[in-house]
Amino acid sequence: MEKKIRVACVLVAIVLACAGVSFAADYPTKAITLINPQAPGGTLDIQARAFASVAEKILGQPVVVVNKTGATGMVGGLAGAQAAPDGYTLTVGSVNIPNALEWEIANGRKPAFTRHDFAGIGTFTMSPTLLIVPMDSPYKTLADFVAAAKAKPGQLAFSSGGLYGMSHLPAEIFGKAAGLKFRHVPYGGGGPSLTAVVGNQVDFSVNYPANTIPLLRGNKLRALAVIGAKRLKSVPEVPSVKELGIDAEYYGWVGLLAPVKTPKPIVDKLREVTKTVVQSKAFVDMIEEPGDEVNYMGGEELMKYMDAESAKIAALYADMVKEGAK
Amino acid sequence: MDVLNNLVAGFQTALTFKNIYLCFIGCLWGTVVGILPGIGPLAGIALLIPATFGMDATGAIIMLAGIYYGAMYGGSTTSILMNIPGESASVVSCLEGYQMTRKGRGGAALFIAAWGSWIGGTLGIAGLMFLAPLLANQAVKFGPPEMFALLLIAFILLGSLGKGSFFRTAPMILLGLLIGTVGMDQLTGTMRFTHGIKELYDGIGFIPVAMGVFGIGEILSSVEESLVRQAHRVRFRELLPSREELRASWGPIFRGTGLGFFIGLLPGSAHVLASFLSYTLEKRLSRKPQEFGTGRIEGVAGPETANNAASESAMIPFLGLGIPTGPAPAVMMIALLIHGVRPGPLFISEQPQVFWGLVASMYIGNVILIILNLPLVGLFINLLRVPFRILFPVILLVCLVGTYAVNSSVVELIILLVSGVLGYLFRKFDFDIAPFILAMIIGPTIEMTFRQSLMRSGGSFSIFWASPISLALFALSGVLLLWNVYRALRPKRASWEKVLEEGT
Amino acid sequence: MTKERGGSIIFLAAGIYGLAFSMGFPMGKWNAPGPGVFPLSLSILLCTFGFVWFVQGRAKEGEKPRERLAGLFGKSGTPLQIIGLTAAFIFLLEPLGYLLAAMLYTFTLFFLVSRYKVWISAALAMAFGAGSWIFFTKVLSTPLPTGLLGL
Repeated sequence: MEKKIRVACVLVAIVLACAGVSFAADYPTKAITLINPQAPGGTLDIQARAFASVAEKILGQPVVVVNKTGATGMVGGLAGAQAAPDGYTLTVGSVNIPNALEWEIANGRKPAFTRHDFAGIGTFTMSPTLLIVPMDSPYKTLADFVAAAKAKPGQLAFSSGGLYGMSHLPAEIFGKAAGLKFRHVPYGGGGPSLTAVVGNQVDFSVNYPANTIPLLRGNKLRALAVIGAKRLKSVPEVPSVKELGIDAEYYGWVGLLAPVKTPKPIVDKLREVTKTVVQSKAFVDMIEEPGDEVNYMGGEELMKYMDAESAKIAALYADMVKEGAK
Repeated sequence: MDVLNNLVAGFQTALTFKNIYLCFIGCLWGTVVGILPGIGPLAGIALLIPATFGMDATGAIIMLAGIYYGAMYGGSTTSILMNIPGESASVVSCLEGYQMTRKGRGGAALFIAAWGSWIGGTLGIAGLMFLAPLLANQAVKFGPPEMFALLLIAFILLGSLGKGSFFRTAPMILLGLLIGTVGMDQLTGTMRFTHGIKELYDGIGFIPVAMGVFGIGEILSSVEESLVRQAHRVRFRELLPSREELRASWGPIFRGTGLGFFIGLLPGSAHVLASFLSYTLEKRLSRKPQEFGTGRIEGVAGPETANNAASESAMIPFLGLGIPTGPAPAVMMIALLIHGVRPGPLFISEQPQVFWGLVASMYIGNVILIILNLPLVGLFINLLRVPFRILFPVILLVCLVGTYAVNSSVVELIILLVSGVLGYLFRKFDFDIAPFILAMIIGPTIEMTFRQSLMRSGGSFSIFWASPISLALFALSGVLLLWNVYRALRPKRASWEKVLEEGT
Repeated sequence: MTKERGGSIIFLAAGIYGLAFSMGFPMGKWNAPGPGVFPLSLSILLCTFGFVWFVQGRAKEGEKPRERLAGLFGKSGTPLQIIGLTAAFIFLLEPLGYLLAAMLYTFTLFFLVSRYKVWISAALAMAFGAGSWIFFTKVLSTPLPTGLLGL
């Protein structure tokens, strides 16, 4: 009896393995979930949903975005890293992943997952942030602002969407490059952080084009500069900090990741589909309408980019931790 | 008037057969989702978003909006009938509503809840219509210091929420506050009390705790008595509120609308705060405050109205600025984005047909809901006649599944059970549960706004009286505190009077 | 054990736990409080109240502790059963899968606690277990654990 059971198990295993191989050919056969570690309505959400709506038509299966928020993206990131590597659960990754992970490491804690738990599929955008001030602010140009910040070190306050997140680091990087010190007031997310600027609760903030430019166009806030190497196509009147001699840049990339053990045929298919979607007119229009820009980077390049970035961020954090300990 | 013209145009869009049908489906689904413990409007909306892909923007939004406020109506049903808050805003309705059910007035409570919700919702929409652009600008001026001042008032009022003396309520409030600190501290990234359990990174979800402490705790206490309950035949007349109950409800309903509308504009989970403040307001204004907790209709009418008004006004900052202030408007935003509609400062002017179609459909939605809910009152009351011996295992199961369905987390089930045990023990030891839950909800925000304000000012406390709003609110909280102290000292005289009366 | 004592034990326990762990959080400065300040002050207050209530909860004259304990917890048999069964359900949920766990759970509740006959309990358990399973997986498409039977 035992021997029969063992044979049966082996047969079942073989059948399942064959099924697994043939999976790639038929992939996808059911709905695909994209885990978004950020709050609904935020930067990642908008892009992920735009992607989902176009990808669905190409893949022929529903693509659903699910928000799993918490702990600056750690909750969602962990869920994505631990998801079944069958290609049906992907993660909307962003620069927040290395941000959050490196911070844990810099503080001597072991993070619950790492970037090596993921395989890169492709990016949607790699946008820089805009330095924004309230409409009532006395600063009309970047030069005014920098001068004021130099005169009052540590007094100008900025809001961010969360510690060590996508809307905090660019401000730190800018501060370091310009030799300025600021006061940081964390808020619970990109939305509240923006509202704080609109409501004149803080002196400035940094945030991404998709959320910021509509408010700019509606005259709810003012943009002083782009924290990057070049100006943005959608707001050509906003100078880049490089023009004022400040060497700061930070790109909040948003893209798609899969668990690292996902079978290669599925990963390749996803990469192909992502490339098609990101370059399709429908997607480009959806991204550019609020003023953002599409920027595709392939999966393997993305992983290398994340490595380079993580090193830079780790160095930044090392400094910050040292200063914090003073 | 321009607004009215636009509204008429909006109704023309909304009153098409298809849109009414979609609104109905949304409302129905929302009611079901609201009734199910654990699954709230967010999950309900998220589940139905894929179904909207084929539709046009207006239709999709109408349906999803229907889900959102349908859930507000549905959530109160389980709170009132079974002491199980179906979703966050309904927690306060458990306090008086369930007591009314125990007295056989559950039908009346449901009726008034639906009625108040309708008025609050409709008036809220009217406010939205006329005041949206104006208010959106004002709402953003409410920053951390102002928020802290407001929450301080709420906190002081918490003390008077308990049935017993302040000293008996205080430790429950402290316990709630302490549990609220679990999770990652947003301002420094420090993990508090999480012990490496990843499900706790985001804090202890308050829905499992509320369901456990109220609902499961209630079941555990009830099973101590005989499991056989006398089911009494409910006559139709008992389903409707009595004349005094109706009369008593008008005041709370109107006050609730005003209060709820104002609070909904603020960031965060405004409906809970709105319903809670309305409850404490009614208790303060009532001539028989000691009867609160035994089933006073004002305690249902006010909060239910307030939370519907708050859900309407919560849309204002979001529609006016494109920034969602809470999870529910955020999901609405998603729905809009999918269909290529981007809310924001230019939304109302650039896409008027969607905005006004949405507004008109909100009115229609509220009407549909009241038509749906009133007959359902009879249905639900009859459900209660199912013998308790059959009902309670089902309730337990549904609570467990409902909680699991939200985050697929066994840890949350454990939290549910532990809260149930706590709820049972609290009932045994006669300590008040409501202040505990409410403290858990507002605690984290009070702490965060306090620290944020100080971070903003670089350590100077003057930020708290810098703006007129926060100054006014602090003054109000000072007044309330003094009033509390006065009332605490006064009973000495009252008891003398009683002794004299009893002596003669 | 009086009611006040019982409550005070919960408060003391929470306060001591909070005290133990919040000491480890950074405190910051007095005008820039860190994450430890709030939990620490709450824990201290909880311990204080716990202590006060413990003392206040002294036995009244003439009552015997054992009688009071029985008075409070005498009928706790049934709730304890329910708590135990629910705990079992929670731990068996993922290994057994929802359908099976739910049916077993409701069956045991109906049979042991509600004292229905075996057949009736089984029928009710199947009805509600399967009914809820269908509702949540098919209608609501929520992911429920699939265990032994792949269900």
